[in-house]
Amino acid sequence: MPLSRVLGAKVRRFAWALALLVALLVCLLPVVGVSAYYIFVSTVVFLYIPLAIGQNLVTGNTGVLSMGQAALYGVGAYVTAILSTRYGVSAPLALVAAVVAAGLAGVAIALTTVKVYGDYLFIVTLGVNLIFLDIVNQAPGAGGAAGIAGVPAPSLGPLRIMTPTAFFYFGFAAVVVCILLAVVILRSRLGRAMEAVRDDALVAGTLGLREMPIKVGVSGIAGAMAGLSGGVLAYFLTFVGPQDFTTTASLLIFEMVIIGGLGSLWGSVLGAVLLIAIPEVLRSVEAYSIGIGGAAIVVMMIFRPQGIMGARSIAR
Amino acid sequence: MTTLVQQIINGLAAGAVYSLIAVGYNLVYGLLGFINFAHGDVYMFSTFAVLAMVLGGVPFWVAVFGGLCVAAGLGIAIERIAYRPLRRANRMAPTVSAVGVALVLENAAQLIWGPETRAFPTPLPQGLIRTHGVVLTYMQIIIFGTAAFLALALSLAVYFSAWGRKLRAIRDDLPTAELMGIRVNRIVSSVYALGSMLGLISGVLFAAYYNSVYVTMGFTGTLNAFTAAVIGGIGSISGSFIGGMLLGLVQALGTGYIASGYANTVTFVVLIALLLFRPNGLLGKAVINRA
Repeated sequence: MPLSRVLGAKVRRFAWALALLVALLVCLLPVVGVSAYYIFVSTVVFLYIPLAIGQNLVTGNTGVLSMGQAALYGVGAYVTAILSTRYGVSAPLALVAAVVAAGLAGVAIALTTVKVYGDYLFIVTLGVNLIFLDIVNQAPGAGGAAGIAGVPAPSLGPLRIMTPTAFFYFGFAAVVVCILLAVVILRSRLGRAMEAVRDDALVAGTLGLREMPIKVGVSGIAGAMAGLSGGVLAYFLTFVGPQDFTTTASLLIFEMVIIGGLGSLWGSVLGAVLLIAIPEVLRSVEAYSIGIGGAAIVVMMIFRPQGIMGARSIAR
Repeated sequence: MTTLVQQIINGLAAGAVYSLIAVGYNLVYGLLGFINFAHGDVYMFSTFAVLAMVLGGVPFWVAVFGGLCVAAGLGIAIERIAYRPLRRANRMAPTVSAVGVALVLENAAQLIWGPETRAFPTPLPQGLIRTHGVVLTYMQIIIFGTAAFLALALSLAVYFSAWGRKLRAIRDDLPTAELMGIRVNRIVSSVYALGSMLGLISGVLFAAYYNSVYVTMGFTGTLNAFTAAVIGGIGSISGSFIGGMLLGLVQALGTGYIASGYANTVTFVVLIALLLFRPNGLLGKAVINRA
């Protein structure tokens, strides 16, 4: 049981103050002169946090073993890139389009796979990811393996985002939005409905919580978050290509949620931080990082299946 | 017309490779009910081991035998370390653990043998027959024959041998089987060993047929094996065999006539459609969906 719930409302306010403090500290990082490399790594972490949060909402909170998050990330990125390079769409609109497109993609995938469960869904959604890659690698106009380059620097109103520091804050803003959205959802009736569906879909049905709309809705939200990150990625790298949206990426995002803790919002944030920052910082072991990640999952499953911050009840 | 027949032949040959992988995969999945995500990577790793031995001067058939040992050993070890402790855990744990194992194997293979595609020299006959305007290679005949033979042998073993009886007992009810005196751990280990060895054989055939070995062939193999097993029906060996053939056929026809390079798309569209309309596959037993 999360600590805050046990100790009551006072602690919850304290937890909020803590979160605010952390946010403030993060905002101060570029100002105090942290090196450009760490700013870069942090921005990459910010890109993955919404992905992990979305994945957690779907898998940890709703119990749906859906794997295609990287493909939804890609949808957001490609939509943004295409709209801004070929049609000169402004950044705010392109981002909205990315969010909507990826959200709809998530909805579509969920609609097709509502009655597919567990291991089957795992494989099917990996397959969807592969379908996305097929399309992106071969459809005319998607740029093939080289992708789409030349995404212009975004202007949000009067702000032009061009420097690494600006992208740092841009990414952080996306993270904050997604965290707030996740908190609102998890505290709401939908959040409890999701967990009911995860724990026992049949019984949830008898309580009037229909599996299909809930699953589809959550997938849409997770897709939307991924789309937002995708849009930010497109602007950050100024180009998009298939390499960031492979099944390996989907598995990585899944790993973040598993290690951080299934069902725990802050767990997935932690997972994203760990799985991006550690391989970056320990460059010397980068060649082994995938294997180490894999071994970490196996160890996790055997000794602490609920992950670092997950609730013990998940491990059942 | 002859191109259609040619496509069919090529499709069936590729399908036979999938069948073999699927049969090995299905043994485990049908038995213990979870996705052995690492199955493909085990056969990838052991096929690389065979390649390494061959390049090191070991005679081909000795190398294949060595590969069988490596595969069996890997299968047993993985089961012991990564799956057995999770036998009574929640549904997701073994699946996730298998993903971890797959990643470890992929990383290891990449570090040892590099990420490039390697050629696979074999003494298997490379000639072909030309009849009625179609080409049939010796390799295709070998693949098809081996797959059919092994699938049949395995079916017979599962349904008519003592070992097979114990296996089916475990599949039906593991705790009760244990109470009845069946050495569950032994049988499970043997199943993993056997499944991995079948995987190695299909890996060698695949490598010989396409003359290439590469680190990601494991992952692709797992996906195709799973799709084949689902098409044919989880839990049915003959189903996996047919499923594999069908998958190869559908892929060949799909990429030949609809669009090339979309092999994965074809595979998964078929899979999704099948799961929507016939979630138990063509020959599978109806299983209560474990949510």
